[in-house]
Amino acid sequence: MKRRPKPIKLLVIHVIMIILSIIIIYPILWMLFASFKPMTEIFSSASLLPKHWTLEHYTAGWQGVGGYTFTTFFRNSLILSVLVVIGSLFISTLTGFAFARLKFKLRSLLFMFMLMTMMLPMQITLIPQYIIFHKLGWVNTFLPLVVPSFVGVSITPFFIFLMVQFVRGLPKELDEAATIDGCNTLQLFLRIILPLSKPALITVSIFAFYWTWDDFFSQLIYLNNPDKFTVSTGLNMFLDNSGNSQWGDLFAMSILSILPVIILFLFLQKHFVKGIATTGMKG
Amino acid sequence: MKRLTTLIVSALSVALILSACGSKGTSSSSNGGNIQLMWWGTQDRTNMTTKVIKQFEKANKEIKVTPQFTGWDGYWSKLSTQTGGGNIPDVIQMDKQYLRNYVKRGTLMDLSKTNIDLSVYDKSSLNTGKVDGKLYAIPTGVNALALFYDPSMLKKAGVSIDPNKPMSWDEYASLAETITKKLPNTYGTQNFAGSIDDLELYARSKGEEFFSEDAKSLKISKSTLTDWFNYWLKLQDEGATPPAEYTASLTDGDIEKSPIVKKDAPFGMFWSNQFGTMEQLANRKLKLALPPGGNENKPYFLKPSMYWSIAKKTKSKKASEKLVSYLLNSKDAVKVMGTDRGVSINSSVREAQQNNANDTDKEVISYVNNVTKLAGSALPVDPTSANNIIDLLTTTAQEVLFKKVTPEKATDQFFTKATSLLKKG
Amino acid sequence: MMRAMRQSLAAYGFLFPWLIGLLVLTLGSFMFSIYLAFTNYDLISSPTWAGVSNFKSLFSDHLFYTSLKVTLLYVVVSVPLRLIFSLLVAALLNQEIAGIGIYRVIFYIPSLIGTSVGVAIMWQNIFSRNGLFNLILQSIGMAHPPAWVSDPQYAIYVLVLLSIWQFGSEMIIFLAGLKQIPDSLYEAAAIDGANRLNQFFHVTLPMLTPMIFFNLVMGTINAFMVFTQGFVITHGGPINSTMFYVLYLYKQGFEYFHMGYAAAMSIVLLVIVGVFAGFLFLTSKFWVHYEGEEGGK
Repeated sequence: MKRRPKPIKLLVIHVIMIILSIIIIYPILWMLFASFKPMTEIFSSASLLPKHWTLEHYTAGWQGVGGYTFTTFFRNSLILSVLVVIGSLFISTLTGFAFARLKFKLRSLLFMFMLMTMMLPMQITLIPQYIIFHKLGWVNTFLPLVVPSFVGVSITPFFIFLMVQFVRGLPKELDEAATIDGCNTLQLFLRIILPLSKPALITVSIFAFYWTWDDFFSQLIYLNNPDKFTVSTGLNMFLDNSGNSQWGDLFAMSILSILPVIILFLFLQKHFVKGIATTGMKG
Repeated sequence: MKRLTTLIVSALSVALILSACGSKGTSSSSNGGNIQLMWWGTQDRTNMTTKVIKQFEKANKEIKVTPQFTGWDGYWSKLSTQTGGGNIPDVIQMDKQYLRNYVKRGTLMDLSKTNIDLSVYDKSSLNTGKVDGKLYAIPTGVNALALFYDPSMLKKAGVSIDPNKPMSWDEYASLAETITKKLPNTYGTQNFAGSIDDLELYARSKGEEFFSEDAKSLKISKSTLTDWFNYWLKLQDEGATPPAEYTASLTDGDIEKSPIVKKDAPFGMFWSNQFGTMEQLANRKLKLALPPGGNENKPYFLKPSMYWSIAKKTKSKKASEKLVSYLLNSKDAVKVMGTDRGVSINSSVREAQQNNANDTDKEVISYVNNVTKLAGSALPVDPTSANNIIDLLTTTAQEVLFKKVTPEKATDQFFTKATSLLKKG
Repeated sequence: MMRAMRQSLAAYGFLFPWLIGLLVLTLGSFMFSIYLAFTNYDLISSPTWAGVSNFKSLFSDHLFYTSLKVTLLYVVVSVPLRLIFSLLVAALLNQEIAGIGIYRVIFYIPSLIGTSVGVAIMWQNIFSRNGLFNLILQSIGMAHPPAWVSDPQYAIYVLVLLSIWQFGSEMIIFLAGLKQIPDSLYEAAAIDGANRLNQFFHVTLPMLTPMIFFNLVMGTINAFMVFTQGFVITHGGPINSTMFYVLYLYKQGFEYFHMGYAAAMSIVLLVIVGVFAGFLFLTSKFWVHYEGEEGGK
């Protein structure tokens, strides 16, 4: 039973979508075309399209810094983002399930505290965390950027809260049915809750990937050597306080930097499908 | 409170117990060692510096240099976090606005007590690295404020200037007014009411300074600051500068939006090292002239583009000294770096820079040479609250230009706030 | 009794990794930050005890109040607008028609591009004196449109607009939530004679309340934490009209070397955001509907 709109409605929807798309995408076109303009044209000319097309910003920008090209930076960002996705899925499902479905002492207190950690700006907690990671000898490795996501720190409280909300929305009869069938808590989690949470898991993956990909401040603080640089720390190298910034290169690499995320999203959004239980069970 | 402290200590000690080892062992043999060199800069500077480091390592086999670099955005957050976290790099690229902060907290080494030969540098420029009489930083080079102008626009307006003969501030204002009248849709000059560097120049042309020598108070007089605000407000009212909203969009360092780039004005005051980029951004030939000020009170000054400093805590003192000397003086290094870190204050290096330079850079070097001859006393190192005061000046100037307050009232406000900031230190 | 104990034990098993993070990283740095608020701390040398002096000077700091006002305005305007917009778009995108994936990607791209310096420049360009936005306004007859992003009166709204433009994450969460709604509910409603609009209000909205609640709470928290837009696009200006709270806090901490003061600011922020979030949680009892819990039929 899929609800398919009628042809006229379909046309109306498409027209609305296309107009909305143009408005939404327009600002990015400016950057896209600027990345093909020679440096002398970017700020002195008012036209959207370049007068002289050039690829120099793409070739020069890709050269990177200190002997490491953007190939290295993309690879590092990719490794980091994938690891954080794994960590976020791990911690948000376990913790989210516990908060949403299990009764235990201190539940509300712990949950409240988790929310509170999101209300302190990271600029403040950065220093004490840096001291801890420095003592651990983890500075200039990926560990300070990855390990927190496995133990529910940094961006992951958001995901845990998201999972809590999602799991609370799943029908409780499932739990009861499973318990009657002899499932223990772990089996309930693995066999029932996890498969039903697919849309939420996809959401967590997209966000964890993108937020790590886009994160600048902690990568800046913890990564020192150019062989560990990521795309966002690499992009930062095009800018200068004295105005001698390499704008064209910055735009070119910024455009390239969003491609992997777009591809990932294009791939994952297809899996936004209904969970098994929600399609049939209730009525 | 005590219980809270105990809690913190115990929480932190958990982390300490977990740590297998502290900082990485650094070999501290007398000459060699592993040194961390940290700088900010763009792709170009970084690539050049990396090359110089390789040369240095080749010439000094016992020393290994680990580069750490970022863009300007984030450099200071990173450096302060690392310093606070007990992980300060050995050799640090330093800036005038931050130097005193690092000195005051005892993190930098007195360089006059090292093996670095200081006799080769221009005395007056070297003084810009001194705090309370001790040398904590050596300028990598200097820049000078310059008036950038578009000769073809001036020609169209039927006016001309002599780049070597400084105008007075009044002459500059009337020139701007003339241009506004002659050329349609053109402003005479960009509005610099919020720029501390230009204000400094203005104060010095009246025989004053902005900050006092000990950096604990303002030395500029109230009437001079009021005059300054009035000067720009009047020009703005006459249409000789862009309106307040235009000026407000040009915050410090965003030179790509300057009126001179957009052909909205023939004049702008910038640092000499921005000349090459400005020509590129504007996509036409520009020229350099002495900024307004007259010369009775010797208002012109050189600004250290940046410095090299060494951390007091370094475990490889000798190696760090060697590296700093190499970066500053080596002919091989100059060949690679050119004037990227400013026009050198070592005259023989400056000569080498001139010989290697392209036409634009030659223009810049000869301009800086010219200012070197004219310059008055060097500026003292900025106070610790410099960042705060610069922000305050920007905001105050905006309030004047948007006519939220009168220049007199703005001056009073600025003085009250700045004085209390400077006192606190 | 036994069962409760067993469940508690199981819960702590599930929570184990999270508890490690809590004890080792979160609690330590959280407490340390609170401690810093009562010290003079310049980032570089060790903190020294200062009692409540940071809080005292905070409450006589003019810019503190300005930044608070600016941030509250931003929260109050941007959060509801973003929520409504993303909900509507998500509802539109929750159809099974050809090319829907492409639209989803396009609508998500603005959020993917982040708030880098590149975005800042293009945004300044569009909303500058003679930017695209004003060209459009002039072509429809507005003679002297303001210079939006550099006008102290309007700059904040440009940043609000930017935040609405980046509505993608809320949209995705709503999409995920919409997928959770069983078709059977719509079928039942259709049998009862409800039209599409009725279905939206009587099925979609109530079923989506957990996600609306989530986006509301997180949107509010994140809006209070807004930093980057003000940092890269307007630098807090003109005349501090976009001086967001966290931006001011960052300046105090990292640019003015008053980290103790910044920590005190963060405690005040924690209390304010806590009150807002607490209020939202209290009201949630009345309007958030959890299918898995009491009330689900």
